[in-house]
Amino acid sequence: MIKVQNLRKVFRVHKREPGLTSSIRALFRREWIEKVAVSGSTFSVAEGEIVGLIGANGAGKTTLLKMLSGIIHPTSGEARVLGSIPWKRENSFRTQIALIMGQKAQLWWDLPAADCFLLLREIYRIPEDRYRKNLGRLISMLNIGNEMNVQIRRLSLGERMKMELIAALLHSPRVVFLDEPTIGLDLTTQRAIRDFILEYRAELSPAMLLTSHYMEDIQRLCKRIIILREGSIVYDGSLRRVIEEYAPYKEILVHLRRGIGAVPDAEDLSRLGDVVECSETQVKIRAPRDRIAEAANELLQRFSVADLSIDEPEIGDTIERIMAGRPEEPR
Amino acid sequence: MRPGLFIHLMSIETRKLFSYRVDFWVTTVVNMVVTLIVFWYLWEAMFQESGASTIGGWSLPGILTYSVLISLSGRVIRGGDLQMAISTDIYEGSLSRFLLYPSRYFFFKYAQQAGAVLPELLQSIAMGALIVLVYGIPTEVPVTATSLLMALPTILIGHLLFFMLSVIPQLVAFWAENVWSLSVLLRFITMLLGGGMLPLSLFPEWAQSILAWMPFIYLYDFPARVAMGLVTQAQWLEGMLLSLLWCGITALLAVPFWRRGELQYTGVGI
Amino acid sequence: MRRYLRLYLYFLRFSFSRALEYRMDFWFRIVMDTTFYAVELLFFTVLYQHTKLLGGWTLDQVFIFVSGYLVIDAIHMTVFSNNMWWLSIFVNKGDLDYYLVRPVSSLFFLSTRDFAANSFVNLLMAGGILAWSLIRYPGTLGSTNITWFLFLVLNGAFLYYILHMCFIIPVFWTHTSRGMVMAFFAVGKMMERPDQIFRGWLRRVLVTVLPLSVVVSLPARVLFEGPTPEKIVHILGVTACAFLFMAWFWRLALRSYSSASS
Repeated sequence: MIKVQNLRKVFRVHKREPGLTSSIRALFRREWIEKVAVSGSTFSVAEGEIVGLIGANGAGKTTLLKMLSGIIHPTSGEARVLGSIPWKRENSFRTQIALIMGQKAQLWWDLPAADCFLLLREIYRIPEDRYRKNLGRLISMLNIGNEMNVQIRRLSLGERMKMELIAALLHSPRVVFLDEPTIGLDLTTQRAIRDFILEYRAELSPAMLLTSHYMEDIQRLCKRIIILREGSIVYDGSLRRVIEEYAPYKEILVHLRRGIGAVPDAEDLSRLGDVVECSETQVKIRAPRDRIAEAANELLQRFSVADLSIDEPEIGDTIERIMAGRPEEPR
Repeated sequence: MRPGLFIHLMSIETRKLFSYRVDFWVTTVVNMVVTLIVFWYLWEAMFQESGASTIGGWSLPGILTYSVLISLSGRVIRGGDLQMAISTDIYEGSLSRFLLYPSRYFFFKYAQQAGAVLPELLQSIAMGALIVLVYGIPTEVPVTATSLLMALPTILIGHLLFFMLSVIPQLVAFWAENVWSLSVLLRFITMLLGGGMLPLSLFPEWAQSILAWMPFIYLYDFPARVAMGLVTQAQWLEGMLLSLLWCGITALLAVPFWRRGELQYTGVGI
Repeated sequence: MRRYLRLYLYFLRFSFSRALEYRMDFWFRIVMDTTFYAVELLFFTVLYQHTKLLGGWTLDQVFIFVSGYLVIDAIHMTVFSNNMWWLSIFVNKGDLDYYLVRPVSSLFFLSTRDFAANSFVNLLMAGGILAWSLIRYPGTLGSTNITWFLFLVLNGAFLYYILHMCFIIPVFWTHTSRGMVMAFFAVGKMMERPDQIFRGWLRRVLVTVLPLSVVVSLPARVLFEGPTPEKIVHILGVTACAFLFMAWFWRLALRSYSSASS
């Protein structure tokens, strides 16, 4: 449903030098520097898929979404969304997509949500019965009551975001772009919105492209992620594979009974894996996945173990390392 | 063009204006009264100090009627405020949401602009009625019910023309950071050259013949003269056709600005 | 006092670097104000095609009067206007708190913090037009008269600011500044006309309670008719009273602001 090939966007920004004289010179002549926001991305998204776009601020996530929703033109490259070129903005294309931005209100600020929805019905030419059905369903999914008749600007951030979601999905788009939909919301509302997105997908299976800085969003919603660094895709694949490929280890944490049995020796234990921590009461070892059982076994046999746990590495840490450009585990 | 959507957008804007607080309406009335006072004293002084009985073909009651009419129609034609909606959309990035909708952006904007017509028109009619009640209609001026009705379409076309004229300066916002000054500039130029400050027949002959070839005349001067019954039916039709022609020309001129600007629109922020 | 001067120098420096950053706006403003100046002068030129005198003044005198107004407008645009614009926005959004916690006079800070450096060139232009209109004046104007006139023009700029503030301050209660701002622009038109065209009670109002004619018209009379003590006292006295009124009004507004916000 979304096909992107070598998509590239370069912005021109003016170079600014300090000092009054150079400022005055800049009134007449100006130097420009090019800033690559997205450099040659290629990927595709299928129906019913939720793909997480991850990257630091300025990595090009929003620019990518803006190009795919047709708001801005790329510098070069191609993209097809539902078979159309987004930035041609054909009506047949625009009636089938939606863009939701957590950072930017899209609804009419001084109208109650109910009025906004009526206007959107008119804009998207949604037939009356379908409009009623969709609205009813969305309202019950998001658990909205009489906030419908309150001016948007008087709603809380969480309520407003729910309204934005309804507004964007009223016309049952087949492709949905979500740009940080949970930003700034409290945990309960975040969860409500995540559940809603999953439920919505189960019912209508649109293609979704989601950006978020919250790992929780990504883990709950996306089976597949794309990681961007300075405009380039550095990873595109399943969330599980990130862990297997970039974090091929697990951590064993052992609490020891004080004063009983052998005292652990870091150098000795390094045969099993990387020793993260080693004291009289606690040992933490990072071992390759295929040798984890063996290592645990040995620890249990050699020491008087009070408690033992095996943990997956934090997925957020792994992704953060990839985003920062150092995918290997620091030694 | 979808009339249903147009009316819906327009009615939202109209309802918004009607929902403004009373003090807003009171101040707009005060403004109109003040504007009229300034006109009144100016022309009174002009006639007294020059000692002439007509100035530029106008008698004192005639020129005062003209001033009343341009203050009443001018607000409708300008749509109240400065025309800044498009440029604000561009640099605040709210253009993005309109680009997502399956309808043309300018269609949206004009519908919103047109939403201001009804409240302004009602207000102007009320003010006009009040003035007629207090002062009556001067006998020197051939203003009739027909001439007032004839003025209505010219005012609506004037409203469209003013919107069209404001499009290009606003589209400059794609390249510049702030185009407020261009909107103000447009206002100055249209006020002076369109007859919003004084009747165009006060200009020297040569200037008048140049102004006749410009679009500005259809903003204030023409509708006011139609309302005063100073225009024949043939001239009325011709004037409306010409002002529509100017709407078309400015629309065509705006196309390349939109095409090029939209290509490099960033939606604000990366 | 020295501290305020230093503070103001900072405002100046910031605004210059910001203004030069937006170069298109810089040029547009020059074009806009040049047009404004041309429109004002053309308006009177056209009127004088049909009369020799207006408000008792000849075209040459009106040129001086108008260019005096242009200088005042340019000073206002450069020094105060942006701040007035922001003030109503701050009040509406509740952003004023940030300025009230500073240990400087809030009135000073909010009235002068945003110096419009991009209008600075226009100030030079308006000054040039004033000089031109004085030089081309066919009669003789004494240097005392001119000095007083220039001083009173500066006073007029200050009075303009005070009047503008008095129209902005109600925003503390009404929360919609649009109506009042429009009212000021409508009322302000009376500044741009010679005071003598207004007669009777209106003229009396314009030289006292709503001293719009005191801004430029009376100073121009001082220039043409000589600086009599009663004229000078009148102009300066009215300005002082207006200032006291504004300061009182401001304090009242702040009190209502701080008691209303939570």
